[in-house]
Order: sequence, then C-alpha cells, then structure tokens
Amino acid sequence: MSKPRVYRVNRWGDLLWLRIAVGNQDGSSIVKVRLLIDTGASFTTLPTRVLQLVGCELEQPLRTQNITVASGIISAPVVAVPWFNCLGQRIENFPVVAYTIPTNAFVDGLLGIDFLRRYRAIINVAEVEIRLTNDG
Amino acid sequence: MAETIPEILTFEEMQHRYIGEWVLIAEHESDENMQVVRGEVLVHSVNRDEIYNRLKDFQGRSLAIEYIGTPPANWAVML
Repeated sequence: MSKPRVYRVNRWGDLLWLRIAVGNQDGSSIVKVRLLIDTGASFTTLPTRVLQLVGCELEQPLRTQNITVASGIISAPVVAVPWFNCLGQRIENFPVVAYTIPTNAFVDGLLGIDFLRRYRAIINVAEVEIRLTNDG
Repeated sequence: MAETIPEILTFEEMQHRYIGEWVLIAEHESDENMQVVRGEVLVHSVNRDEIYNRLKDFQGRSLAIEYIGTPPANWAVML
C-alpha cells in the first residue's frame, strides 16, 4: 500500500461496526451487512443464510472450526466467500466462519483479526476510524 | 414479518417508517460507506432471522440488510 488509508466506521456506545459487501461469482447476488469490529474474534463471521445466497456450500466447507462462544464451544463450517469487500479492500475467496450470531447483537456478524491483521489495521477508537497500512 | 408494496424510499424515510425493525432493502443507490441512500424495502420484521429466511426469494439482486434504530441504552455485547 503506497500510503495508509483511513476509513470512518460507526459507533454504538463503545462498540465499533461497519458495513461490508459479499457477492457471488458473477456479481448478480450482492448482500451488504453490518459487522462488529471484534479484535477478540479470531475469524470473520457471517450469517449462514447470507453465505448461502452468494453461493457458499456449507455442506462442503474448507474445514470446520471449533469456536468458543458465549454459550460454549461450537463447530462451525469455514467457507470461501466468492468476494468480500470491506474498507475499500476486495478479497476473492475469503475464508469466513459460517455462524449466525444472536439477533440481539444488532449486527449480522463479526470482522475478525484475520482481516485486520491482513491489512495491518490500526483502530483509533477515540476517532472512530481504522487505518489500513498494508495491501494485504 | 410484512412485505411492502414496491416503492423507492430514501434511507431517511425508512428510518421514519421502520424504526425498531430489520429491513431487507433492494438497493438503488448507496454511498461510499455502503450506507443505503435510496432503495426498496422488500420485507421488514422485528425478528432478524425472518429477514434472513427470506433472502433466497431475492436471489440475483443487490441487497442490504439494515437494523433501523439504535440498541437500547443499557445494551452491551460480549460475544
């Protein structure tokens, strides 16, 4: 990345969230959803129904992943979403965890450390912004 | 869950009509932050999972899922 790029995100109370888009191979089906920016999440997580709409086959995952959630330990499929667009970065075949988080989280999923590390993200909580310092 | 008659609304108009609900929007215009500017509300519900269950009925479109409103004042998350 030639120079760091700064993106405004959104805040509810002390939590930061943003909108991302995912789509199928030919770009005909696109869904934009809200993700909580979660440095405590190992992986980016999207709802199963959203992933199915963009062509992910949950019955044939890349692998399954054991995940510790509030209610205990679950085993969730990891699938490659055809394309994932977040903070101006488009990733082809981005592996995400297929898991529908509780509805009262008021978001659709989680933006995890996997994405944040890939772009060497620096989160400025006070300014409600993220700086990406790497091309990925 | 309720369906709507086809009508293009601004996001501000959606905020007045669907406060406290999840909406599935067929996008017509959005800004650089992926915020819907104008679109058609396809279905709306206080139950987010009902919106998810209807996604398959709108394959081949550009969609956005939004919660209209803000969480309660005492709301907190530990996932």
